[in-house]
Amino acid sequence: MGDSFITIIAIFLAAILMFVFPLMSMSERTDDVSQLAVNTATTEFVDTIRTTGKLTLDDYDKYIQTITATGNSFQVDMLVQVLDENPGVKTTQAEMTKIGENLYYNLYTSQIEDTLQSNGRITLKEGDLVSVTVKNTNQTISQLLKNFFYQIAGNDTYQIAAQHAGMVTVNGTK
Amino acid sequence: MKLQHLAIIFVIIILPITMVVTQYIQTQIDTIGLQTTYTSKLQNATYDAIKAFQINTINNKYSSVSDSKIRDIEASISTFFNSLGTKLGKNGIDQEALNNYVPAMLYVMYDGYYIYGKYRNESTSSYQYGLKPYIYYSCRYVRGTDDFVVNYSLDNAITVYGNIDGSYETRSGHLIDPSLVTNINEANKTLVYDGETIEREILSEQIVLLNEAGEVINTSSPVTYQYTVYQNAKIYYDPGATDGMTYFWYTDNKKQRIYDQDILNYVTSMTIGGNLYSESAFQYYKEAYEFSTWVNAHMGDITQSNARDMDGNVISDFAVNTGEEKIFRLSSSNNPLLDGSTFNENRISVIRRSIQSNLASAIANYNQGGSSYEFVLPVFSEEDWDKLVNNITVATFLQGIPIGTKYFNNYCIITNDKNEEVVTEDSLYVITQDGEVHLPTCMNILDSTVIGVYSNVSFERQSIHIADDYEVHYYPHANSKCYHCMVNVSATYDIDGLISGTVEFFDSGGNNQTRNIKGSSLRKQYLTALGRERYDLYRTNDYFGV
Repeated sequence: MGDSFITIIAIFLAAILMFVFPLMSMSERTDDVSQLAVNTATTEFVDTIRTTGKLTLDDYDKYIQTITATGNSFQVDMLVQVLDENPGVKTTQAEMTKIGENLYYNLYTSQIEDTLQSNGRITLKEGDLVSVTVKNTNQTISQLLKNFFYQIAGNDTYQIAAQHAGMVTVNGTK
Repeated sequence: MKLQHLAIIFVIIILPITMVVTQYIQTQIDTIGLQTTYTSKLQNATYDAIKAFQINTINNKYSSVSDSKIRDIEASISTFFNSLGTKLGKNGIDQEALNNYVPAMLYVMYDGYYIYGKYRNESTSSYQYGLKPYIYYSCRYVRGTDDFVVNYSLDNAITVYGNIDGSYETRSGHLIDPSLVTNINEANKTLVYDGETIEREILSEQIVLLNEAGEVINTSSPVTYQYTVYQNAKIYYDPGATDGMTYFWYTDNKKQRIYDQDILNYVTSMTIGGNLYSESAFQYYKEAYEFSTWVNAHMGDITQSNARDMDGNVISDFAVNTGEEKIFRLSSSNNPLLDGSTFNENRISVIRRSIQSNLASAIANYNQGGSSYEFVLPVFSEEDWDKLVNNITVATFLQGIPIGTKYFNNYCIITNDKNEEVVTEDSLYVITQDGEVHLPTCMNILDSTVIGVYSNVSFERQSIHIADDYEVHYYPHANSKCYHCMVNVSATYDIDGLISGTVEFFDSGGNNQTRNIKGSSLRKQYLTALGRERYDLYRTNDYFGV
């Protein structure tokens, strides 16, 4: 009786040690590599916009392709803040000692995608801000396994995420 | 063997493998992570550098004079090192150490470029960091017994010197298609360029004047004055002046009296009916016409096969091979103002070749001095070259910083189109009758009445520092910017369309449309302003004349 009980325990332990542990470890490495790829792609995508002053459908498609090539599905949030200097000009005109404020108005992901679909590009100018946030929406194997052992609460958990933002440094041309 | 033993052996084998792989992947991740951070930091520092150059030149009335320009560039370089040093400080690289990783910085200017880097000072027998001598965008051409050099620039201006048709010539000027210029009327100062009448025009802008004690004269708002440009400096016109200075220079934000009688005679002759006129646009097209006619006659048959390197060998490695097309035969099919003309292709090829060879040798020479890392010039993409040959540009290189498993090696190129170095086709802004300012290629102003076109620099905010906590700010042109083309850059077309008079665009249905805009006030004013701003720009070789 006692011997077979120990055997069952041993089989369980062996299963965890020989199967689950290596699987977890390897799946975490896979996620690390995906994380790296997504991080690099996001930084490059944003930096291209910043140094060329334009966001093209071509670049966007390439970016989406690169990150989905990691085998995960992603939610990409883009935000373009367009600089409007007019209020500042008006303030300075009325009162020479004041510089006044610059305003930014925002273009969000859906608006950007609409414009890209219809025009193929969005041209930006020096001073505009661009920011891209991306996180995975599927459950990776490592997330699955982790959830199996220790529950991560909430819906908004993600394993792979990247964020990069910056100011456009040049006036985009046609 | 028991199952437990097997399990233990398995774990003993797998565990080290997993650990090593984890470690290896982590190192790779750190390396690439560092690489992206460094690239971003390099970009930000380069942007800081060009911004410093822009701010310094806009607020410096003498920025175009050579000595002053070197000072602005040196300030910009120190901004770069400051900025990068601060950003990389937490990675343990301070400003001093950075010099070891920046093999070169390139400043592309109007008619040549500076390279910052290490050079050997023979008098002290040591290596020093600093700006190397200015290099012109020049190309040597040999034709029979003729042997001359052409200095190109970022726009359509060239300087020619050497033996041409048997005599030694030194000439400088702008190239246009001379067949487009007709009806030159010297008395009225008018001519027709491609159907548009170029004539005298009234220019005005706002300035803030200080009195002798350094106080602002009119504290409520800046005052608008008419001005004209005499030998690259603005002379303002104040018809109601009570201090006897009807005409004055604007120096240190104060009125400066003009004593020279020749200048006073000139501005008086330019004042007609109580208005001060500028004839720079007329002079630009007239001189360009004369120069282009001369170039057509004497250099019209020059092709790429006439180009020689310094050893006298034919140059065959230009970026664009234009074959037997005549570079300086100016006609409607080779209009230097347009992008794809043979002249322009050659201009770009010459600039590109010169930068490439000098930069490559500057970076390669950097190795002398005992670094173990081998510095080499990275390969630029076509897009990068496009930036380099068309605008004031800063290119920075950061190489040899150890990052995990390899060395960091990257470069950054950032252009600037708001400066007083060059007037590009895009760098003019258009004011319409409703007081709004637009890009020249705004779709919404094709039918509008244009009341003025000025260089984009004069739409930037100017600041005057009066006391520690007292600064005043003003805009030479304080127009609100169009929401379709300037705030949100969307509805624009290609600038070549405006110059050639045929605009191509897509209508709302996505169909390709063309429209003839010859004779519109937009095109007339734009071409006038392009000529005027280029004529009024300070050029080192200007004294060679036509």
